[in-house]
Amino acid sequence: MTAITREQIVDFICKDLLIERLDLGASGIELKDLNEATALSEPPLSLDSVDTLELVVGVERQFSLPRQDLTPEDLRETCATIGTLADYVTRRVPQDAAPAQ
Amino acid sequence: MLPPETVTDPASAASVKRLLAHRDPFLFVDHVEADSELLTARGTHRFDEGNWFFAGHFPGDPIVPGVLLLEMAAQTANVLLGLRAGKTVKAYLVGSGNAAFKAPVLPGETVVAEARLTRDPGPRGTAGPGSFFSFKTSIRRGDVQCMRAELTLWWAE
Repeated sequence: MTAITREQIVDFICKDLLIERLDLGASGIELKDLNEATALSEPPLSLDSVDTLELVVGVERQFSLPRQDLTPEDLRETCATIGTLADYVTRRVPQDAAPAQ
Repeated sequence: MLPPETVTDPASAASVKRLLAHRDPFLFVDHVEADSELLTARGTHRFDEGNWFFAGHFPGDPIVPGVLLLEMAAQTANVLLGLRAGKTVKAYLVGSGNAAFKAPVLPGETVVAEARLTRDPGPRGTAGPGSFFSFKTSIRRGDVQCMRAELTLWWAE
């Protein structure tokens, strides 16, 4: 088993979820605009609660995390920035687990 | 809207009917414009207050059913296939993924569906009946995104 790196998690969030799944590329957002400090619910991303829930479900599936019920406040805190969402993954993923294929 | 320089001949209501097999009361595209490479189409539709489904969805609180937003996006994608083929294409919606319904569409509102071709089985003009096509789609009311989904259409005839 290969440990998941922080870089892999952030890369998945930025490339697979934000640019591809949420299709932010169509709104002019580029990969170079995204980093761990990027706020998710504020401009220019301006994600709403449906978007952020999709991010959480996306990382849970990708990294085989146990599903967790999140209150709206939990969701806001978890998805404050790309970095806080990555924290959510690193806190809960088994360190010897490989990313799901 | 698409940059003006990329807009080709807009598909008017008449030409939408030439390119689509759908008809009232299940036609949800009034007119369509497409980019010059025919990779993206934008279809416009006004959901009239008198539509049959508002009476039941929901009584006293009418909103456009999410499945009809998917249908509108699929019809816009279907028109794009017709524009690429230069004739009527009857396509079936055979798959959807990652659909999110983000804001309600109300009676009397006009929305714009965008369908962007992401999977084409062959160079333009070479695909035909039996081919599958994938699209990234969304529906917007002004700056508000009401729906997004990935759709797959199958060219039936």
